[in-house]
Parts: sequence; C-alpha cells; structure tokens
Amino acid sequence: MRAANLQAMARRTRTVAANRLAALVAGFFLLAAIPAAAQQPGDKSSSVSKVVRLNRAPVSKEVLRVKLPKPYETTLPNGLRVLILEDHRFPLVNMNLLILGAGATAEPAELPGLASTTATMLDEGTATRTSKQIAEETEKLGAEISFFAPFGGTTATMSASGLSDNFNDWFALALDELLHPVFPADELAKWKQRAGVRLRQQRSSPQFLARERYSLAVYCANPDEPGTCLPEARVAETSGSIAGMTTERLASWHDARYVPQNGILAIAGDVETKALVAKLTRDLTAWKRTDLVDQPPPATRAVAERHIYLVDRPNSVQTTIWLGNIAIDRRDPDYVPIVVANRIFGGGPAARLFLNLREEKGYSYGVYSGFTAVRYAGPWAASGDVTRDVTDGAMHEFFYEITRLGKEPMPDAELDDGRRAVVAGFALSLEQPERLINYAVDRAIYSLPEDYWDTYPAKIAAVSAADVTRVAAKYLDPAKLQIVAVGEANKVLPVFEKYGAVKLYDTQGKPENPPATGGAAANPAGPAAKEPEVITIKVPVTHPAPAATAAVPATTATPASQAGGVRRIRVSSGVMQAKIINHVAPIYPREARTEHIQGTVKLRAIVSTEGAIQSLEVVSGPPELISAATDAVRQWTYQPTLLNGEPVEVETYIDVIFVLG
Amino acid sequence: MKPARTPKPLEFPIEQHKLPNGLRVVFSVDHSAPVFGIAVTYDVGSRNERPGRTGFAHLFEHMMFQGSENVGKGEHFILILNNGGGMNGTTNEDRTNYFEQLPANQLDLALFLESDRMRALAVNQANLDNQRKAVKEERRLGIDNQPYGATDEALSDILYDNFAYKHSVIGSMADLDAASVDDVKDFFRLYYAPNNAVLTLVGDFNPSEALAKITKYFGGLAAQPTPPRPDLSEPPQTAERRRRMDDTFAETPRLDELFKASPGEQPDWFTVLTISAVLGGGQSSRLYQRLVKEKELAVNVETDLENRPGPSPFQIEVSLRPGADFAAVEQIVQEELDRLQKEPVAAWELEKVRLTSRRERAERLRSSLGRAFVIGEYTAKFSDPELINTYEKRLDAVTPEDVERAARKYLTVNQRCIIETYPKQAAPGGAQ
Repeated sequence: MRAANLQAMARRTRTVAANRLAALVAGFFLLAAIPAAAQQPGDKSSSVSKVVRLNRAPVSKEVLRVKLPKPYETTLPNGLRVLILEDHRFPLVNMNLLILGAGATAEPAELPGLASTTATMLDEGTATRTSKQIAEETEKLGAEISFFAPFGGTTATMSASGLSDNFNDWFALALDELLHPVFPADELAKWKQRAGVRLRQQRSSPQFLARERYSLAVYCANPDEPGTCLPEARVAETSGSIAGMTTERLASWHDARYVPQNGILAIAGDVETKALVAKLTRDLTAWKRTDLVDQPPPATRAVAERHIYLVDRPNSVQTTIWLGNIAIDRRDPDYVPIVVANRIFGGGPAARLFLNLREEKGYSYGVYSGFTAVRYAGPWAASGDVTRDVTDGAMHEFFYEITRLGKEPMPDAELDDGRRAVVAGFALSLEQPERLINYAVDRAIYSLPEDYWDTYPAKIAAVSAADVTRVAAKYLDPAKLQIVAVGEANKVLPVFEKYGAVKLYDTQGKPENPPATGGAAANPAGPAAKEPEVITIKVPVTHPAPAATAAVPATTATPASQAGGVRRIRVSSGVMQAKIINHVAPIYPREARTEHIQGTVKLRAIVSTEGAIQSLEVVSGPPELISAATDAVRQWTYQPTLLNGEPVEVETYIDVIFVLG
Repeated sequence: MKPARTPKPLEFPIEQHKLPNGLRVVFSVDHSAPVFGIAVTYDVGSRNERPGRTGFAHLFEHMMFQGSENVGKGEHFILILNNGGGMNGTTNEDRTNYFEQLPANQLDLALFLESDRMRALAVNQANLDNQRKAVKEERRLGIDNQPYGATDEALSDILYDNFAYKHSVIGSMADLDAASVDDVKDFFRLYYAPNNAVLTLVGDFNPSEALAKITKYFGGLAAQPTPPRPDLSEPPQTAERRRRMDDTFAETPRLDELFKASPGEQPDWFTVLTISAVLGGGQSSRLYQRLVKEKELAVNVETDLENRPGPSPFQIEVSLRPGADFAAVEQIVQEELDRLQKEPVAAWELEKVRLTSRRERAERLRSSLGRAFVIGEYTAKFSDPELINTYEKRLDAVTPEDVERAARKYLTVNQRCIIETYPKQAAPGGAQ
C-alpha cells in the first residue's frame, strides 16, 4: 500500500538530487573526481586516496557508552511472541508483526509470488470491509497499514504506524485484515493488471536484471536449469504465476501460514505496557494456534568456482557489476568480523571501494559492498554502476580491492575507524523507538542471547586485522567469485572475457549468442551481411502483410501479437531476406518437374527470438510443391531481430517460387 | 469544523539568537537522547541566479565538500561517518542546506567543520574545473539517462514566467562553462556569508555553552552586504499551457498537471495542501480511486505541493497504464477539480488530512536531525522558526468553504499546465 503523504516538505523537493540520483544522498555524494585514464590490466592500482586528512578538526575520542533499552517480552497463550517498548515523547505507535514461514522461501516452486501476493492482497477486502472502505477508514485515522513478503524473504510482515490516541481503532483494522481477508476476485484481477505492468517495467531496470541473474548464479546448482534452484533464487513473479493466482490459492496459503505460534509482534511508542498486554491477550484469542512448525529455509552453499554472467542490455551507458559469493547466516560466529570488514571494505562512502572507484578514479557515483546474513546464508558482494567506457578499469579496481582485503593486513588506523564507526552509531538510534525494538526482534528471530546487544560493542572492538583478512580470504576468494554484469555487450564483453568464460544472456533471461564479429548487430536498414544464394527461389518485394514498401526497412513497431510476454512484430520479407544466416535451397520434386508443375508456395512464418523458424503455415500454393518448400524453409535461420534492445519474434511471409526452365 | 479529536499538538521549545555579524542561531533543546542535529541553511537557491549565471547554487553544494582551509578534500564526511554520525546537503530553488547528526559529545567537531567552510572554502580553478565536470556527469547520468528526466526539468519551465523559478536548479552547461573563478568567488562571498545563514541546533546540548562555542567558531566571520532580494512574483496566467514530450527511457506514459498556488505558509497554502491530499493522498484519495481502481487507466497517482516563499507549485502526476488514453485521464482529473469548486469536501476527508498530517509530521520530527532541517527551512525561507509550532492549528483551520474558494481561485482550466510524456517508440533503426 502506498504511503499517504501530505507533508509538502517531506515530499521530494525539486532539488536536482531528489530528481533522480540516489535521492537521499545529495551534496557530497554527487561529487565525482575527474575520471582518470583507464588502467591497464596488470597495473598495480595506486589506490592512495585523494582524500586529504589535515586532522585539525577537534574530535572527541570518547565513544559514548550507550545502554539500549530493552522491551518488555512475553508470549501469549496462542504462542505469539510479543515485545513492547514504551516511548512517550511523541503521540505515535509503531507496530510490526513478523510471521516466520509465511515468506517467499516457503512458497511452492510452481507459483512464485504466492507469498508476496497474499500479503499485498490482505488490505484489498475483508469479510466486513471492501478495499475502498479499508483505505478510507485507515487514512481517516491518519494511520498506515501495509503487508509485504518480499522475494528472498522468510517472513511475511505487517507494518503499521499511527497516532496513539486512536490506536484501538487502527489496531482493530489491522487485525481485521490479518485475520479475515477474503481476496476478492475483482480486486485480484486489478492487481494482476498492475503486476503485469510492473513485470514489464522491471525488465528495463539494470539493477533488477543484475539481481535476477545474481540470484540464479548463487542459489542454483545450475543456473540454466530451474529445477536445480533453491527458493532463495526467485526475485519476481512470472507472467504465468501472475495468471495462476486465484482467491483459493491465496486463501489457503493464508489459512495455513498466518499462524500465531510463528509470529513476533513488536509494538513501540506511546503505549502503556500492562494495559496493552491485557488488550492483546483479549483481542488475539480469535487467532488460533495450529500445528504448523516453522521450517528453516533450505541451506545454501558457496559456489565452488568462478563464473561470469553478462546480461546484454544495449544502449546502456553504465555497466552494473556484482562480484561475490555466498557467505554466512546471521548466527555464524564470523558475523561480527564481517560487519567490521564490510564496513571498511565497502560499507559506505568512507570505505575503500568508494574512495578508490569513485573518489579517486571517478568511475561511478556509488560503489559499495554488502552482505545478507539471515536465516540462510546469503551473498557478500561488492557492487556498483560504473560508466560504460571505464568498465575495464573498474573491474581492475574491484579485483585489486577484493584481493588485498584478503591478503594485506589492515592498518591499525583504518581498522580503528571502522570499529568506531559501527559502535558510535548506536547513540543515534536512541531517538527512534522503532529502531530500538528491532534489535530485540532480531534477537527473537535468530534466537540470540538476551545480552547480545549489551556485549556487541565489546565484540566489535575485539575484531583484529587478522580476523578481517581471514574472513575476506574465506568468503571473497577471487578464484571463486560469482560475477554478474549488465551492460552493452558489444562494448564490454571483451572486458569480462579477460576474467574467464562468459555466459551471455538477453534482457529476457534467455541465453544469447555473442555479438557478430565487427560488433554491430543486424541492421535492417543497411546492406545484407551476405547475399543469400537464390537459385530457384525468388522472394517478391511486396506481399499481403501490412509492412510498407521494400525501400523502407519496414519493421512495424506495433506488435502483431504478444505471446507469453515476448513481443512479436511484422517484418517485410525483403528485410528478413537480408538477415538470413542459413539458407537452404529447396529441392524441386521430381514428379512436379516431370509434370511441369510450376508456381509459388506462399508461407506465413514465425521466426523465434533466436532467429529460428518457429512455425510455418501454408497460405497457398500448388500442393505438389508444398512439402519441398516447407522442408527447406523450416531449416532457415536468421539473425535475431531486436527492438529497443529486446529480442522479438517476427511474423513474416515467404514466397517460394518454383520456376522451370 | 473542529476535528473529531483534539490531542495535544506537537510543540517544540525555540530559542533565537543573532551574532553581531548577522548569523541567526536557533536552538531547540531535547535531552531525551544523547545526540544532536545541526543544519546550516543559506538563504540562496537557484532563484537567486541571473540569466547567464545559472547553476551556481547547485554547483556550490558540490564545492562545499571539496575542503576548506583547515579541512582536507573529502575529510568532512569521513570525520562525520567514522564518528557515528550522518550527514547530507541539499539545494533547491529557495535555499541551500548542510546538515549533520552526531553523538552529543561531538558538537565542537560539527561547529568547526561548518564554520571553516563558511569562512574559507577552497574556491580555486582546480576545484571549479573538477566540479563542473562532476555536474555535467550528474546531469548526464541523472537527467539525460533517466526516465522522465527531461519531463521533470520541463515542469518549472512550463509553469513559471519569471526567470527565478523558471530555470532549472542544475542550470545551463554553457553558463557554468563560462563562469570564471572570480564569478564563483563573488557568489560565495555574497551568499555564503554569516548574515545570510541560519544555524539551527536541536537535541542534547546546553544552550549557553553552545552559544559560546558558536560565537568562538563563527564570531570572527565578517558580515557581507545584504544580497538583493529576488522578485518572485508571477504574472497571472490567462490561458492553458500544453506540452508533449517523447521519452527515450520511459516504459509507461505519464501525465503532469501543474498549477501555481499561493506562497507557502499562508492560509490559502494550507487549503491547497488539503486539496492535494484529497485528490491524491493515499489509496482513499479521489484520483487514486477513480483512475487506478475504478477505471484502471493508471497504475499510480501522486500529488505534491511545495512550500516556497514565492508562488508554490502544485502538481498532479499520473502514471498511465500502457495504452491508456490521455484524454480520458485528463477528463477525469478535470471532473474532480470541477467538483472541488462546487461540492464541499466530506468531513471524513478533512479528518484524513488532519490526522495523516499529524502522524507524518510526528514521524518526521521525531529525530533531532529532522527538526533541525525543518526549523532551519522555516527560518531561512520565512524568517520564523515558530512556524513549526503553529502548523497544525493552521491546517486544522481549513474549512470546506475555503476549499471551494481556493479551487475557484487557483485551479481553473486557464491556469493549468499540462505535460504529456509518451514513451518513445524506437524508430525502425532502433531494431538492431
């Protein structure tokens, strides 16, 4: 559910920064140094940062000791765990409910999106309220209630916030949506339309494409075989799964999975604990415990050898690059050392990746690293969008930084800065009760000890340079990096080939052939790559299909049909003739020749996105010649046709003329 | 009409000072967490630029992080981030601000950094050349390479006649190329002066100690001549304006409708803010229900009213479904605008506006940094930090009669500006 936002100042102001570039990081983060000349592979990087430290500013070396307040904790009779943190400075209440086992990693493989769709549809109708009524009632109270279960997640979450003086009213609304959703068919149909648009829009986003390909790379034993993929690999619905969502499926998922014994309810703000516990006990009796035990998500594993995947996105002015591998889950003892190592390596604008690739070299507006340590082990990866023409230099620097993190002991000052940065930030969270309670939620989800956060600063302070080198060498081994890039393959494929064999994909996720030598893909307006041998076949210039005259490379942009999400366009036969790669001459049938049968076999062909003949339909022609025509044309292959950088199916007409004499 | 509930309004303590050199200082003390937020807001934005010299205000946002006499290049953010803080800076048409949040024991650090760059920013040819390139990069990647980038730039161009708000914040590359170091130094001296700045400090500090520190760090800066006040008036618009844009990157069409509302903080401004929420705030809003849910012509609707010292822009933005008809969408938008002129808004709609605003403000202002930002804005743009404490009362005062009157005054057909953005279908040459 979209946030209502009435506050003019909280909206984007028409600043340049807010306009597009990482809107919250205006100012300094928009700086780019003058791009340096691209470095040659094998050069040592001179990564002495251009940042100048004069050390004249007065800095207090004392790190404020901060005692994080602990919430009240209890478990209701139905098994629901409850955490309550009082904060009376503002008349607000924040409420989060996490339900383990209702997330995407538990959904069936044949219906990706079941978890997130169910969550999204909870506020589209209950037994007593329509979607519109829910929206009106919620917003009239000034509250905001939303449900989500993102891909890759293990939980479904309800997130609600509102004023404390009408808390009872919006709490009741949230409870109604949680317990009595009906998933109305008409609202579901509308959701499907919106979701279909979103699926389309996503495929033009390089960040989405990178995430999709990266998830396949690290969560599938064989990324080209969906059957070998773990549920963690899914990042979006398919058009098929959108079509497959029904009221019944959503309702049964909800009935089975939205159960209190797997839930954690965290409430922070202007509430009174005792009264609230009594209310929750009363109001939530209706939510019945079941036998469902939350299963942990399937275990993941690091990939044993380096792989490189490039998604070809023509016209990209940037190359999006990810490099990393599966690392740890949240409970792993290496968590704390990785927090420190990651912070120094790429955890922000004061980190090595940023200072090198952005500040010093000017390759990018932002290069960072991050790791996913949840109930399963996710990747630790460096990533960024670099200007296309410096992809080579950027890859060099990525490898330089990754290698030295695992080899060279970290200097004391740098290590000290990193440890202090992690711990000193705790003070700022004291203003935000919602952040404070999340520390306790983490403890609950991951079964961490009660004093976990009290001992955390000391653990961070104890991380040594040797610890950093060890975890980097173990989890960011250059020889085992999974590398995913999205960009203009014509220009950047050779860069990635320097690091190993590259698997190439198009933006639909299908494997693609490397660009033809010479770099340019087929140009229907230009001369044919080679003249096809035409002996007994003549292809007429005009035909009944709605393409224009042959002089114009008449690729009509309007799709003839859209089968399964792939676009299809009509192309004139003249244009298609110029794109033929493999032309097979038909053989004149002996009987037809003997009986002087001549004529034209008209075929309607659908050419697949790979350029193969997908289907042939006989429009007309002498019956004696049809087989000879179809036998030959069936084997023809064309250069793939791209429209806006995306491969399309082509509908075209082919006349096979049999002439004697 | 009184709202159904009248809970205690949000109120924050405000203490004002002014140094002899003109630096305005605003304090708001809050000892509940050992942190503070500080914002230095300069009364300069793109509206202060003159033809031939656009883009300077935004350029300065970049230059302010290049280092000053006692702070090295890039050192500012490293010091803040490595000591547990957060920081940022923003430029818009009316003001430029720089802000940090830090643990309470780092007040000297923040004041040192802000005063050093106010006093002695390193304005030299090398930095200027550097940042010109950076701004061009930014423009290329952030506007030229983004869907609706060109449309967003066109919004102010179509809406305003007065050069002040008409031209874009990022400015023209030709103007920046033509700028000399002396031009830039003059701009800095005039606008980045203590008498043109507001220092706002919110959080856990002792006011008299803080004032002494501020005097120590900022007191030695010399006041500069008062910068000229820009004329922000707009001639009345007497006829509708329309523009069509074709966008290389957009996947879906977009409709933008804009109007000039009153300057910010006036009673009429709160009325138009109410209208903005009624039309496009949340899923219960009129345009969302009609365009997204009922007719399914759109996938999203947003409305926005900015808060400026001059006529403030009110915008309706509709993301159309592919293939949806612009005329049909525009008709529905117009029907709703007409309705506002003739029919009183419902009681529940006013209630929604008031309570949602209350919640959103509370969430925004819960952090000391949020408060420093907002109080600094009020002081720089409207010369009154207490506006933060009277906001709710003024919003609650809006009546249904006010809404009808404001709709007739500001939102007529002749006053509207419409931009239709179409995804560019690739020419046949686009098929490769």
